[in-house]
Amino acid sequence: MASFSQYGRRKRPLRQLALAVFIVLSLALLVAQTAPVISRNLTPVRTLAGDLQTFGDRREQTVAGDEAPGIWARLTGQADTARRIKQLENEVAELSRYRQAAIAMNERFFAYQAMLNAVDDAPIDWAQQSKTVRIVAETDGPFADTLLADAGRRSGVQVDDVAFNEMGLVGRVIAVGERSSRILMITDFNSRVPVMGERSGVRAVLYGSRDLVGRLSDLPEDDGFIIGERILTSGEGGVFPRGLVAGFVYGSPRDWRVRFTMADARGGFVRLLPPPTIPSPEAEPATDDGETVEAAVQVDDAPVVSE
Amino acid sequence: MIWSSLFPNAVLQTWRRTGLTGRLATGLLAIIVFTLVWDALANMVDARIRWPLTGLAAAAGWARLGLSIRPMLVLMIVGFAFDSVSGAPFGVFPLVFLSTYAVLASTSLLLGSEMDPVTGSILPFLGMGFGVFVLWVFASVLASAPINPIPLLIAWVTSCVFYALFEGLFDLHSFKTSATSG
Repeated sequence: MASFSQYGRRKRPLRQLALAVFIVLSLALLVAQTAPVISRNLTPVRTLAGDLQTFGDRREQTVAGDEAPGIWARLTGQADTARRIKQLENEVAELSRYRQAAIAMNERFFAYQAMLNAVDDAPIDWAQQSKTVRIVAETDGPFADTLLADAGRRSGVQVDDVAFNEMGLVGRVIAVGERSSRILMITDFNSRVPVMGERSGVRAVLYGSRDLVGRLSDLPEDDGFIIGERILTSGEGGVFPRGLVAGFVYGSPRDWRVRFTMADARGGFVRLLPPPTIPSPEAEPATDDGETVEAAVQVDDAPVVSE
Repeated sequence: MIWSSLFPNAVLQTWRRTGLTGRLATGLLAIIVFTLVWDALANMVDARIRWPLTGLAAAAGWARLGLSIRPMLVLMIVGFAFDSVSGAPFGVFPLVFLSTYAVLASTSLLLGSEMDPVTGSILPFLGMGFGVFVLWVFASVLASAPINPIPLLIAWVTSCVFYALFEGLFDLHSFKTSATSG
């Protein structure tokens, strides 16, 4: 440890004065910053220092909200995991916004339905009524385009259950075993799905053609689809619920085609939903007091005999 | 000194012949390099250890020579850099460093040759403690309430460790100055 010395004793008064000046200057600057104008003028200096400090720092935030990984994270491989987690968090955040929008639209939908006194099926409770199954095999031979799922009768899967994934309609269950079920894809030749254009409202039947492209037929002659619009299930026939996305339409009025969206899913899972149930019409609708409508009409039409 | 045994004689001879400006530049460089390395290491291991107040260690080391204008100027610059980085109002760290420098330099002039080696060894650490206290006072006044002193105490301990390890870099006693001071 070096010892203290008395170097430069002759110039001491000047140095003491200099020290006092420096201290007073610092103090004056400190006090001056209580004035907003001066404090505001010093802001660029501080921001510049902040930029220099965060340059290459792992805590630096980009516009996208990503965090630049540090050297340690890169070395240990944590950077990829962290990036993936961040990506999934962003997706969840985005999906949460859609969820909120869906809830709001659902509320409004039921309000409109109540105002119009519209008769409709009971709303589908997707979370309760559907079940997620894993696809264990895919058969795309020359005879049938089907999927094999790892859930069957024991899991409550039934024939005609509708299969869809996160991107859209996949098909319907055509055979059920104890622990497995077979799903006929809408890409199969034998598949026929009643559909409609989301914006145009034109009805048609969607045929599978084994190449992830469907054909539309049986549509009105004087109507056409809007190119690029989504094709949804129309719910006619009672096999598929209304509103499931099948794909996007393209082509020409002579040859309308549909690009199936289900192929864009990568999860390897599908959800199975029981088909919509439409009660059979009664032979003779009954009134509250047990008489037929026809009889009631006759009674109403009977001449009133006044005494 | 710990660090002097690590270097070959040629380097030590050169260091002994280095003048005041060269030694100040070396000290300034040490502050910059150490702050950057500390920040990088802390980021690598995700540590939240309080970085040492290297400017305070420099003030303690440079004050052993007594008052001098050039160390004051360098301390002012370092202080403003600390203000910018830490987000403190401009002028706080220059005041802290200069007050520490003034107290230690005055003590060294006051005690002079009567200072025993033990006091000479302890004095810089006490001086840095004074500087940390001044910093706590300023921070508390600016916050209008007493702030938690623990982080500042930890910063003082790390500053003391930094000073004990690298005090040689902040030694302004050179061949030239020794010759002129007689």
